Amino acid sequence: MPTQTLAALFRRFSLLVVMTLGASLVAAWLVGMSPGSQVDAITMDTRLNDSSVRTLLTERDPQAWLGRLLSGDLGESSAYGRPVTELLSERVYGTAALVATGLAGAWGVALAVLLASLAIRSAKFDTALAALTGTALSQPAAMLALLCLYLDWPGAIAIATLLFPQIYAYLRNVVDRILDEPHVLAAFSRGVRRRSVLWRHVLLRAVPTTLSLLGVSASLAIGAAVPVEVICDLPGLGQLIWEAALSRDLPLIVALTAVVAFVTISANFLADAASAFVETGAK
Amino acid sequence: MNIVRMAAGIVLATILLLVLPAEWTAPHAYDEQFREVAAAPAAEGFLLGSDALGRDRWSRLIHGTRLSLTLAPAAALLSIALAALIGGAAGYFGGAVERSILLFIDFFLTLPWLFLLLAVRAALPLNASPLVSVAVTFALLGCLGWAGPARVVCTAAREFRTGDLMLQTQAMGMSPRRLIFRQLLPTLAPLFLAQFWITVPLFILSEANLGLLGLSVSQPLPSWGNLLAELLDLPAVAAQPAMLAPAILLVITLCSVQLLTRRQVRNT
Amino acid sequence: MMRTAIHLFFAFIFTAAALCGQFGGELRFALGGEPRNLHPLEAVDEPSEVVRYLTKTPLLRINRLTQEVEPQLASSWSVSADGKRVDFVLREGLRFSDGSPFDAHDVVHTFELLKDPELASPVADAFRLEQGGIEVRAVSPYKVSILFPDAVAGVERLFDPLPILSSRSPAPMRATLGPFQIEEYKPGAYVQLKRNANYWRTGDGGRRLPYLDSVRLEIVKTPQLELLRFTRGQLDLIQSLEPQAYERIAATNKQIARDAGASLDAEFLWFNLKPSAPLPEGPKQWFASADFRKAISLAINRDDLVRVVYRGYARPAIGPISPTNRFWFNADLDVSAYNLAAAEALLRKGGFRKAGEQLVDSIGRPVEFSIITNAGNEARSRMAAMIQFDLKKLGVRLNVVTLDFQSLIERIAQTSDYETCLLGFVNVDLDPSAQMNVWLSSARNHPWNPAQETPATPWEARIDELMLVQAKSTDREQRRKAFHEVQKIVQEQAPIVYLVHKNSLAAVSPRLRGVRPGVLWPNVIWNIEEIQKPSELSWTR
Repeated sequence: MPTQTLAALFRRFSLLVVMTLGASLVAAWLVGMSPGSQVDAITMDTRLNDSSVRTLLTERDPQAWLGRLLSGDLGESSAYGRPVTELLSERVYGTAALVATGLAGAWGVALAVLLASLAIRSAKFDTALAALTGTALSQPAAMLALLCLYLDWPGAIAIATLLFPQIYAYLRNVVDRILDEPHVLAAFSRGVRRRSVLWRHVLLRAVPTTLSLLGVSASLAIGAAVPVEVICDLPGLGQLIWEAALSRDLPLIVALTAVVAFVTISANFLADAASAFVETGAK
Repeated sequence: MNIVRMAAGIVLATILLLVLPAEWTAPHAYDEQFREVAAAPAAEGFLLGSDALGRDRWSRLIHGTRLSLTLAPAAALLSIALAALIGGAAGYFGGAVERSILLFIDFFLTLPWLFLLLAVRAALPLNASPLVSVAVTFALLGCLGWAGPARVVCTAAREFRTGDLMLQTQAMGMSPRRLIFRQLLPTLAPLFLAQFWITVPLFILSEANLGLLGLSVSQPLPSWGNLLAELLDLPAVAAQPAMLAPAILLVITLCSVQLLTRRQVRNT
Repeated sequence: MMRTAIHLFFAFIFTAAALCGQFGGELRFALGGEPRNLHPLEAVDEPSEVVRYLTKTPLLRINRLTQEVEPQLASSWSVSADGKRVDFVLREGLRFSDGSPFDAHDVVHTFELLKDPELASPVADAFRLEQGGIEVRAVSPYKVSILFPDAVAGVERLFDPLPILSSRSPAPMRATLGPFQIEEYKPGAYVQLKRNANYWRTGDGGRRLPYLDSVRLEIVKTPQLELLRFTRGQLDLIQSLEPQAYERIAATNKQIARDAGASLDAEFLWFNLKPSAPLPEGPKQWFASADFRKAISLAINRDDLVRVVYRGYARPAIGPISPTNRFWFNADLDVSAYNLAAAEALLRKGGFRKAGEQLVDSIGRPVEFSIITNAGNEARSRMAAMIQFDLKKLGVRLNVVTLDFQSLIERIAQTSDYETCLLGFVNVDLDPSAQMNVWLSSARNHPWNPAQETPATPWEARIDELMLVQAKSTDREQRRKAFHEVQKIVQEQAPIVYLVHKNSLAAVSPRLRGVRPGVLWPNVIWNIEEIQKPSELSWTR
């Protein structure tokens, strides 16, 4: 048994690495294809003569970059003029903290609201909840980030507000479908205490699919981190992503894509593994 | 049909009736600049005041609502259709098909599609009408936005496949086609709807966010995106609260839709 | 009687103390981005240049208010009659921040560094060292002579951005003669500068300047955050404000908002006149006619642009030089006011006519073209929309396309795949010689037709001639006449339609003393050594 799981783990891990590299290469190709990837704003400086501009034009040849990458050199960011590894290591903790806190907040609120809604079986409560999620859904990420900026709230609140309606809507949907199932309805009509029905039949059943949403919400949170960091001026990876995209900074974009790919795909792998585990355990 | 749903329905119908015949219901042309009254509060003939260039906010709201309420749902429809197809196939067939499709979805989710958007917009002729370029932007968003919902659909389809309902219908000897159309799709329909109503505002807001990259709607065409982008100047909003109208309208529209389409509360 | 005397005595002491400069305090303001290269000679982005300005001292400095040249490290200088030699007399007894002595050898050494062909430096490029022949000689320990192969017009201004580096210090990049030195750079957060105890200049009472103990340059990338932090007192000044933000600040406290008047910058649009550009036939032919270009210029209401987009904090522009640049501005240019009738007359002359609401050319093509500008610049986007509306009255259909900056540069610098472009120039220098790379037809930054092998039109050839004349002449009046003619030609031919000169708007905390905002960069902190931030415990109000 252990060797089997180890083999499976090894397969998954190598798949993860391959996909991360693949994502990086496709990202590089996308950057190369986009307009303005071969020019540099430095040419617009009227004080520099042509030879200075030539000296300053950063290496934008994808093939040379690929060669360096394969030999382990992540290269230098053209927008910042510093090694990519330095930039990443400086900023990764800030973003990790932001994303983790935001996710925790979003899930916490979504779960709390869901349990409250199941406990309080009130139409008015559900209407109010629909209004709340509708409002939260219609806020642009930039607006929420701006509000956090002006009110001096941590950026995690903006991320939590952005993600919570989606998580809640999904959870609500999952729970509703389970509540519709014949044997659950039967359990209710048999007179079993509502709370134990909810707990054993409904919520426990919802765990596997909920876990898979965890993976998706991780990538949503990372996406939300970009506008929040840019507007609240937090020096994290999200800000890097934005500036790298604006200046077509190939080494940085590729490194960031690799990081995002690695985190997202491993989050999904873990979620899938956990849900499979729970499923087999439950059955 | 309870009161709440009726109210929501009436609100939506009112909005649509007001907005769809925009050429007749809007008091001014959306591009007409009344420069003497630029950035003015609500006044005679200007229900919500005028924007920075003296254009009537109310007229721009009407035109912009029509644009966004037409294009965003169309793009969302495209996304959800793709998600249903790809995610549904993954969950329904299971096994290696499911694993490889899920991998592909994860891969797709992590790519910086922004550059594709930029490339496609760059390929458009400079003299393309603003309507054409915004339609192209939304179409692209539709083609790119299916990945997140697809994963969710896949999980739900997988549950169906491994669930009791599937066993029963298979035992009954139902053909796969009937199975899909009579059992699977109806089961997944509420999920599609839920994902649809999450995706619509997402696209509306994406269009606003893309403005900073030059991918937004060109002048002088109004859209919810660029009307909402005006709100990013918070002190100006404090001075002229009428600017909040598009945000409030968006909230009202989405809430009405939520109230209209959600399930009845369980009485268990 | 005695008590009154004591009160008077103390009042006198404290007033005197207040009138003498207040030492101490930390000045805080924002850099708009990360400094990319803190090497003093290589600094090319604005944040790096701010750091260099605050930490290095040149031989001569241009006073940002009077626009006159001031001695700094050089106590006096003279330019020879033929304009080819500049002699400097250096101040004696100065030391770098680490104690290394300063003398003529350091000047010679700095020029040696500049001559390095691998160096990409705007400072070096201004000296045109690649053309060779500049000789720098230390005549005596405190006298330097610099010989140029040709006369250089306005040679003193070349020395304003040139930092003098030490030839003897063990840490030559860190050792500095400027008012401050770099203490710490925390990427993404701030650059901390501390006072240089060896700074050469002394203030009232004979104490060495600067008054401030330290300067903290916060790295703040969004203007909204900068404004927020300023209103909360975390920043002491804002160097450049948007008109709307300026209005709000001025409404709360008139003292804080400082309007230094029209800057040297210009916003303008130009037509793509490159013969090989991939333009459709229509625009190609229309743009080739100077009458068409002038008609477009006449149809744009610049007063509206100033009033609506800049809230009045700008001046309509009729040429590249702002009226603030008193010596070089050609006051005889036509003040081309908004004149729709004249525009229509010019168009009729060119065979254009109106078919209903739409203008069509002589062979019936509807007049429609596009203008590109960079995304994220609210003012330009609004100006484009206003120009679009103005041209609609002529029957011209203008399509506004906002692009992100990289895509924009690709079109204007590489592929020439655009029709008209709306951008702005930031002019840091008064002297037209700084704009050689714009006016010479062979230059890569020549907007409407870059990098020409030979001038495409007679008037561009004439501009080339005039620019070369003024670059080499030592006669100020001759230079002025030449450049006035350049401005006249540009107005007659209208390859560029100038729109506005923005005002230089800043915000300064009332706690600061000695701040005198000008229009030349760095407009607020140019006299950093004179700026004081009296502490709260001071006896003055």
